Amino acid sequence: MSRFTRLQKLLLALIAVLLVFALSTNGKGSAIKSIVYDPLVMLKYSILDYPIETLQNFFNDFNDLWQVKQENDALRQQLAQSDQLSAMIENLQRENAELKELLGNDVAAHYEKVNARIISRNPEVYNNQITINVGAADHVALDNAVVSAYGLIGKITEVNEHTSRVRLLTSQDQLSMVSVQIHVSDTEVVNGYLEQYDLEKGAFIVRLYTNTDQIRIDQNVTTSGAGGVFPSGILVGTVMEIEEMRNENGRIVYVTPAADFSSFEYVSVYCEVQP
Amino acid sequence: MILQVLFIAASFLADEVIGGLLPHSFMPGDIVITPCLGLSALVLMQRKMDRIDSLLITVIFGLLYDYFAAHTFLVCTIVFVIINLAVSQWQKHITESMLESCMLVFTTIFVKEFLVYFIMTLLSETLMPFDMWLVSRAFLTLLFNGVLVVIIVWASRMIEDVMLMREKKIRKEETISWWKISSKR
Repeated sequence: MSRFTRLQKLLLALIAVLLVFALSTNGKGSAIKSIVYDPLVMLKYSILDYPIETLQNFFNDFNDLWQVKQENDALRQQLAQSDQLSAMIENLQRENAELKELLGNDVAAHYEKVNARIISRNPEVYNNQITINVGAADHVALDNAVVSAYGLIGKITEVNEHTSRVRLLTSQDQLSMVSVQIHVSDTEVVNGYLEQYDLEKGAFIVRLYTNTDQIRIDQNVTTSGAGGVFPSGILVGTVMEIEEMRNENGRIVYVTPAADFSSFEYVSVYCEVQP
Repeated sequence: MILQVLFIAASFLADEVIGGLLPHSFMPGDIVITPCLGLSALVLMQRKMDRIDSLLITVIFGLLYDYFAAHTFLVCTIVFVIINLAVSQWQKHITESMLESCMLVFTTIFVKEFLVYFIMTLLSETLMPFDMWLVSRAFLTLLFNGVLVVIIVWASRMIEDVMLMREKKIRKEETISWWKISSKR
């Protein structure tokens, strides 16, 4: 006589299927995961998260209504200048392309921004990862930079057909190193790398490649583009504190994040587009 | 059994809804409140289930939660199984009164939070110090779930009453066909 009842055998079979599925798709995108994971995450977002967000946004918008007119007037003025700025940008881009050709550089890969929305997040476990609603179908690839309205927030760590997983810069597993540059003047930068996020200070730890005393508080820190993973010029934060290292030569720079990690719903992904 | 499984699934879904309404932050040191209705329902329902059935149901819900909600590999499954084994031992020593059920669920939530923090620290996913964890994670989660615990215990008692009434109804409808009873002699 069998030790397990029929129902228990059925449950054991279901566990085996789920385990095999989880093992085969753990940590990487695949066609099977795209067929199963993407629709279920989208369904959960459509049925549960989106209505709740809509309700929350309705109340927030109603509260903000009174400030809208004033902000509207200020924005109209700024918009009037946008044509002029567009023309300047086009001119600079043209000059930049010409100069690159003169220097003999290979034509660099261009980046396009793909806008996305966060559809899944779970702060219960400490891995600081979110899921966004763009994937391989939108030209998103592994290690693409992800930014919010204010600055860099993370990079793509997993890509499915219509969704992607983003590891935030605030995760403490030291897998989010980014090459950065500190703008010490209009023409000079100091290179370093963003090592990890410091919990107690609430800032990024940046280690420099060279020992220099040109760094000051409130200088901008952007991505350097070294390694070709991230485009250069994405704002990471501003210098908050400079600390001398005790047992070795050099300095540690603490950088206040530019992005507001307390809350965001919309992000953009810098996708590489080969010319 | 189906009713119990549906109740547990509904509680996990309620967790997602409540989690969407709560303020959330991606800053590691910020306060995080985690609703735990699903785990509470799992712990309360397992007391009425066969031991192997409850373990298997726990593993299935753990795997599903790992894959679709937490995006981890076996972390929540391991935590749920540890809690299942602990509760199955502990329930021999407690009754089913309202107060003891609330205490059981409340303690389970604390143990779950601690186990998740412990595993994540072992895996180097977080470097959060223990005092920061207590203040930013454990304290408010327990406070918030303290209110929900009463609701989930009350709901589980309603489910148990429904199941009891069903059993009584089946028993009432049972008849003996006396003319089919045969002697072995």
